[in-house]
Amino acid sequence: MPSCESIQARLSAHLDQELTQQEHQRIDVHLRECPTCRALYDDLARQRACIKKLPFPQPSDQEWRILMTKMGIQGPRALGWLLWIGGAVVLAGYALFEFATDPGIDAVQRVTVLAVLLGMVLVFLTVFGERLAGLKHDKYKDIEK
Amino acid sequence: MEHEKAEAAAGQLLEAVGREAFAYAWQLLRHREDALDAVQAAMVATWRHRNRLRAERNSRGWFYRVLRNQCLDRLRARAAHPAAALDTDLADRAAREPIDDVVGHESIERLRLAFETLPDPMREILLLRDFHDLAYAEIAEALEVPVGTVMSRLHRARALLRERLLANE
Ligand SMILES: [Zn+2]
Repeated sequence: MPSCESIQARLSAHLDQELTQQEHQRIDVHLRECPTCRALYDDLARQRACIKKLPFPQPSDQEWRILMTKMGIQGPRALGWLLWIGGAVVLAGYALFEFATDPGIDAVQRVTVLAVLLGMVLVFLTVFGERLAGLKHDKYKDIEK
Repeated sequence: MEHEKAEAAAGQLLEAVGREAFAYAWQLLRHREDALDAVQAAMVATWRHRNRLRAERNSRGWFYRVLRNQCLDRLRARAAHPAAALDTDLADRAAREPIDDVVGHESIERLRLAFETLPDPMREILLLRDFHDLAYAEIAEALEVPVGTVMSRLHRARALLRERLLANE
């Protein structure tokens, strides 16, 4: 018969079903014959079942919803921005080309309108650059869904 | 096709493990917002890793390892800049959500008090095994230690917990 000491060292792993089949059987046999080890085993089993019931905190439904939203929304939104900006740039380029090459508009009018547009583009680009720099510090920026 | 499979597998993992894993993050950090933040970061990392995730021997252990490292990062940052007050222990929570049957409540309350006195690594491993139901191989992956260490640490943790329970009787 194996010593109680060697059995007791294995009881924890036996509870977790992490031993070989042979070892499990060896311990089962001992537990049937040894009340001391049996009592210890039952104690550990009760203790283990109780830990499962400890009141560990869980996220509230609201906290979890917010987290899931943060995780999911960034991909579609980034794609939306890309499509919107890409489309706007192509459209504006085309309109500008038509305007600049239209022979029915006189030179002063043409230069004034182009200057206004160029100013708007510059303002837009600098604001966009700042936004982009800010985005680089957002560690979740490139999560895609 | 492979891509869709990887997405489905990662999605299932996050659904099954993400929310529950909060308890583990909280146990390490003792702070709700920090714990939520760590869980989110671990979920993001898992999602990014999704194409390689199925090659991992055990993805659940992998997820807990990522979450643990996120928590350790936050603990290091906190050591450098001590700030917010921490949640003391499970007591507040237990008081807010009383367990229905009185007998069960009494023994669980005693266990809770004894559990709180254990050293951090022992609480951590008991939580992973008995609360989160991780297998030894998954715990080994999460803690980055050999399976033999998981086995012996759990044995010692349970023995010490029992000792503390008996001392309080
Ligand atoms: Zn014995």
